[in-house]
Amino acid sequence: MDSLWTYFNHPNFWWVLAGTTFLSAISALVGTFTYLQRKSLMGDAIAHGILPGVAGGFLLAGEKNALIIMIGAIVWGLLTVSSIDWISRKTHLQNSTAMAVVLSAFFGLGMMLLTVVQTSGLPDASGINSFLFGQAASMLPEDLLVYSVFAIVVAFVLAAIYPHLSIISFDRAAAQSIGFNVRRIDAVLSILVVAATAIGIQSIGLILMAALLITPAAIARMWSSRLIGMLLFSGAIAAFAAGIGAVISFTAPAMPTGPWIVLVLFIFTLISMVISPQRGLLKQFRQQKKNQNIILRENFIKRLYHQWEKSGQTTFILNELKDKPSKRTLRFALQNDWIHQVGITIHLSEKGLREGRRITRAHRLWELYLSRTLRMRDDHVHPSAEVMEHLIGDDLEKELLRTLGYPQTDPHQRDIPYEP
Amino acid sequence: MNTWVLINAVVIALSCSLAGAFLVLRHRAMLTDAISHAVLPGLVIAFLISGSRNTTAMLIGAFVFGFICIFLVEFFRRYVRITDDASIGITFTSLFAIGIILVSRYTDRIDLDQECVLHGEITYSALKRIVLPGTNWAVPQTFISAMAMLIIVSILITIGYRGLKITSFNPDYATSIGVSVTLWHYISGGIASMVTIVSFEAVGAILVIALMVIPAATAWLISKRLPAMLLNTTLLSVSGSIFGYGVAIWLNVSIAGSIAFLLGIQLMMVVLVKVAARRLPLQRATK
Amino acid sequence: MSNVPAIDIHNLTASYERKPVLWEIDCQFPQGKLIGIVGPNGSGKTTLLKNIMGLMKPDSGYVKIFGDKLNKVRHRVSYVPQRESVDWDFPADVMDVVLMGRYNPKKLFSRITQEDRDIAIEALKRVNMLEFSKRHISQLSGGQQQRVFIARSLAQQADLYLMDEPFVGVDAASEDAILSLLTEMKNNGKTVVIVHHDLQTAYEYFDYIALLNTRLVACGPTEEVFTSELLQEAYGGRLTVLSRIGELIAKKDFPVREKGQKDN
Repeated sequence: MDSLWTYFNHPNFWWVLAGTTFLSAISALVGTFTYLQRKSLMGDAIAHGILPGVAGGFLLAGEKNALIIMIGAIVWGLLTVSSIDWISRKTHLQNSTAMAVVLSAFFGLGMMLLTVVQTSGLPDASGINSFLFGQAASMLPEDLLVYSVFAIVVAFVLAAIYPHLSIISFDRAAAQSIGFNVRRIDAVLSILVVAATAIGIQSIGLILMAALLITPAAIARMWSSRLIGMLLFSGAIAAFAAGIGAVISFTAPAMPTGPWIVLVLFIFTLISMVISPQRGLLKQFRQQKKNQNIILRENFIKRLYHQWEKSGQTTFILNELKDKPSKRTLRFALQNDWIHQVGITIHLSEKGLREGRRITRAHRLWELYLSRTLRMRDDHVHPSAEVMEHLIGDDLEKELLRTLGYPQTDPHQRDIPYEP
Repeated sequence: MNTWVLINAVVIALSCSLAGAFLVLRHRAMLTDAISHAVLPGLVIAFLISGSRNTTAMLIGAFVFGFICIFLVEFFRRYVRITDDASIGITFTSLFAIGIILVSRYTDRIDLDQECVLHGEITYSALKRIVLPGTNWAVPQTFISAMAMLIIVSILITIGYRGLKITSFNPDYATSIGVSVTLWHYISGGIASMVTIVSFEAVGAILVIALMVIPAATAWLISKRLPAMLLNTTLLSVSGSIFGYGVAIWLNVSIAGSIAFLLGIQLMMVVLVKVAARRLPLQRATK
Repeated sequence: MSNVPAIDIHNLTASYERKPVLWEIDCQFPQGKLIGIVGPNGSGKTTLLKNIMGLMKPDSGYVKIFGDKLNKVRHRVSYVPQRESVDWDFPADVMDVVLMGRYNPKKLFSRITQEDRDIAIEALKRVNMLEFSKRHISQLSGGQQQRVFIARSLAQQADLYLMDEPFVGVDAASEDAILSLLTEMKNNGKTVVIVHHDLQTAYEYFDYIALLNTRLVACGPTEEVFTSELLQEAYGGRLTVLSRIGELIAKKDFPVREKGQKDN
């Protein structure tokens, strides 16, 4: 642990940590909007297509000059966007095909320039590699300043067009119909993606830059369904992942930063996938389990009610029941005073009768509804009612009663039981 | 100038572009991006386990991760409802990141580095040679594996031609006559994964995309029928790799990069010619 | 011709993203008739067709075709998808597309025979498109593209034809040509089922109509179905009870049938 402290005391450490977290958060904010507009892979195309700009900027400056490289990256990023747009407008090729074409051709050109850089004998030639996979530790305070200025501009533009972006993200067609200039907002967003990519490349690298635009947004979507919540979440996650990347970059200088940031984000994705409150697997699993339990216990009380309906019987011998309830079902029924247990017999309580009656009523109302409104054959309505009886709550019951005019019998001429 | 390097480039370009043609027709061009990134950890792990550049081990490793990739994409999409393109983006960047971490961590133990992952090593592809049994011809190992791949791809496409065609053109119709769209989807994806693996070493992760997508997309613009498109795809991939190789030697730059860029130039020229032709009133009158 | 219904749909419920868009559809289509599936936009017409063709898995219920499972009678059924569902820039000419009608899973690897070609030429003649057989499919009008699709379908030589909106984006001449062809098919004993959204023409075109609006409003001979009461019911909007319970099903991820519950 001693060694870790020496890194923390490194003069650049706090600079780099603060810088990368800030830059990554801004990139992730832009990514949230592209995610919502289902344009996630655009970020990948731009990040790869930007390479000739980075290598060209390096050659022009003759050194690792953040400002010139940044400008080169932005220029090529814009060229990438417009080439993709041009190809998909002028030909029948789809947008995604145009993206694959442009990203790989431009990346090829970038590779050519990269070999020129490497054979150029320029002093800092090997430093260019830090743009490919990211090398947070190699950033100087001056570089960070340049990137941060761009990031602040991006943040301001984002804030300025926020209302437009949020409307377009939720309902593009509606935005168009009320007179929004959707194309112009699209263009601004593309420019923002280019800028977001350019400010992220030194810490995460352009090869994996797409992950910073896509993954935090996708994670945030699993935790929040509101735009502002998504933005906060994706920014925070990106910042955290970038922070870890920066620390690793200082402790293990041979390691590129980008892959670690992406790995941290991937782990977050997997965790969120399991536990997120919106769409987590755990929640889905619990919901299924809960549905199953509701069905089991309501079916149990319904069957007892049917027996009561036929014979007026309220006492049953547990072992003689046709479908023996599970322990869990029995426990629930006891706890809710639906039944009382005396030794091997169970006794249906007033509350249990009411519950059984409610479910039976829902079942028969639904059968009648299917028969009358959907004109289904009377011998076809039962299977659906077997499920819907568990879903029909007080509100829907009232609605059904109103629609059907407080009926007395179901399609099979059985009484629809009302509370006495 | 090394003739074997050029021959290797041409053979690799041929199998990539043929395999890519059906992905382009299916509007799944970006899937090549995903596959080419996702197989990296498979290659590295195979390398670490087998301790050498054992082609079989690497094929298995890459296949395993190819399927992990397809599985994860499907899983994110279906169960967590992440949008389609974001699922692809998350999956391949993550798998590629794991691959890069492994490459950097075990640099000393494996014969792969970050450079090679991006550039490929086509320049050295003629070095390691095998003497053909019964003759005294020494042929580069890369040539043999690339040639084998080209033959396999050609056979698969010839046999599966109609299945690939009908499921690409009209999946719903194909299902209605009892042809499994999912099966053919996996077959076309599987062919693409296979060529990716063999080409990966030669041209690197990203330029594989150029070989798979660009010639096919260019050919699509100038072909009326599928057989013509496949023929044009092969011609364009050959011309692109020859010109690309020439430019690379002339300017002394990355061969793989130069081939990718030249393929892009070819497409650009076709689009420009088409746009210009549309502007000419004479052309329109005859149409 | 037996009296088995061409299509027997039994308690079919189907959903997108867990939300039911078709509720407990239950009806039969007789053989040898020109049948319309009619309803307002978003009423689930295409979804119904997709479920009949096994392109979607229903949440409940089943479909029988000529009294059998689809897989057993697939060679007797021909499906014409919506014209917009394919990329017409695909590198193929008219003949290529029509020949696809001769594909089947068993013959996928054998060669196209001269007989197949003759059948395809015959099919093109019947839709008046033979002169275009070498034309690239992107250079056809909407009506011509639809006729190519129908020619492909004819080349399948089936007994039951299911067509999704064949009259959409079609010029008047093509519409007439298609309609007389469909009538001719019916007179030859074929059953033709058509998804159609235009109420005006539905009455003239079809012998038998299924009126749909997320649920089945009516199913029967055109005269019986085309009453102002039923039409108003079909076009008078959704039912609140159904949409509310549909939302509950989606929200609670509830099944549409209990485990082990079979539709008999």
